[in-house]
Amino acid sequence: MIVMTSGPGRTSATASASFETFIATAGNALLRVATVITADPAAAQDVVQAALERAFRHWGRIAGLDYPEAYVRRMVVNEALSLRRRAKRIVLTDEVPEPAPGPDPSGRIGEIEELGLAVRRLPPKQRTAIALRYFCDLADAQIAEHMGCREGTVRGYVLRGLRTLRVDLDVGAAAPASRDAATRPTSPQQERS
Amino acid sequence: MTNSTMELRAALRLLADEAPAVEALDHTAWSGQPGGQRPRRRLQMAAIAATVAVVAALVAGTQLIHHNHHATAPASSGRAVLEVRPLVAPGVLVLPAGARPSNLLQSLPFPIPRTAADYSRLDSARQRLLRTALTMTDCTHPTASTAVTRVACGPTLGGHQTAYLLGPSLFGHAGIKSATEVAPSPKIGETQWTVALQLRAPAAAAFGRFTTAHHTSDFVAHGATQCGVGSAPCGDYLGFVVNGSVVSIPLTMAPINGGTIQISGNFDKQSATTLAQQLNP
Repeated sequence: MIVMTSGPGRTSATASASFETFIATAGNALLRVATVITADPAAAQDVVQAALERAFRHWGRIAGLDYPEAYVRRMVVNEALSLRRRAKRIVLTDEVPEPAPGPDPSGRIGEIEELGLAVRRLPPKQRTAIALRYFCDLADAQIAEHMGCREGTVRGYVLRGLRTLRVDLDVGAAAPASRDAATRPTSPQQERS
Repeated sequence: MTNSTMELRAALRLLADEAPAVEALDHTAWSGQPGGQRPRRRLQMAAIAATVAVVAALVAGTQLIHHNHHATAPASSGRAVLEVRPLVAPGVLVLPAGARPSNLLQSLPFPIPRTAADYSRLDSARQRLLRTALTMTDCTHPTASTAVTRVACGPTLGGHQTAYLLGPSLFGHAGIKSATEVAPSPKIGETQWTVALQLRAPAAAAFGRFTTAHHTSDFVAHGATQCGVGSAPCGDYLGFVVNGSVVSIPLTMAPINGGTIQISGNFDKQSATTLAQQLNP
């Protein structure tokens, strides 16, 4: 791997070549993290694009770090959280009303899908903390660094997020087994084991 | 709780799979001199446009769901068309309405599986492709039923319509001898009305053959809230489709040879009675 040194001696050609190499190795991972954090592939693309453009402007310094990828990922997290603030301020004058999550009436949607839906519905900061812990496997201290807050705050986000996810699931999972009666013979046939 | 953490990781990976490709990024943005300033305006405009599109899609999606919700309820007059079809693949949540390719399912680069066993033989990439195609089902224009497979939309879940790929029909309207609404028995925990069907001999035989070959006897061990990995196989679920909409996807727990079955599906007295009247020959 080419290690760039920050200094006046570098040429733009090698710098952009090294940056392209970085994107080739880390680009996918960054896009995936951004997609989980924003829960929106199009927004993820914008976020990563913006973070990379900014990283490119400071590439000489970032390339010299021990873990450029971690640094750029932090930029992606910042960008994602500030994009939400910006977008909300400019566009969303009021929330789009969405029906409250009810029990799965037909009962047979995959639990993972249901969980994914619940993850999308989390507030951005809770989803970000949960993504960094359970998708990127970062420690709370690192998550705190990424999000620019205290470790205790991170734990708060994670716990609240997990609690919401579990409540959502309980609502969805409890109903079908008990209520949405499975196909069964009616009397006189009682063949259910 | 430990179990949910595993599921959470899986759900996050699934979400990440929606990520755009690296090629989608604008690589010209870093082809010049590092440290140069690029105008951010274009990008912000793109972000705003994307947000507007998302909001528009959400609003459109909400309308779609309400619209279809009414369509799902049996009409107050006329006949109801019933189909009973085995579930082929796990149900999916349909994406909000918007511009989407039509007949995506037909353009898959492999034959559409007809049974749950066919589906389980597909590799995971093809299974995902199939399910992605299903998420783009246009629930406002349900496809006409065919002899082989059909996609039918079901009730909404968390504001999203559901869609299911169903296999060949076991029996249709001609298989019904009589239909009756049945009140719930609170004593055994039932809260909703159901519709009981008496089947004619050929339909009863077809139903018996299917449920003998496909049933999950161990209800508790399977949890029975999903089909697929580590749970009841999709082939043990049956889709009850009324007028093109899925009203319930019950799990078959025992062979049913008696020719009498019950349909559940969020019915109240009114809708159960109406459906029973419409199903009666």
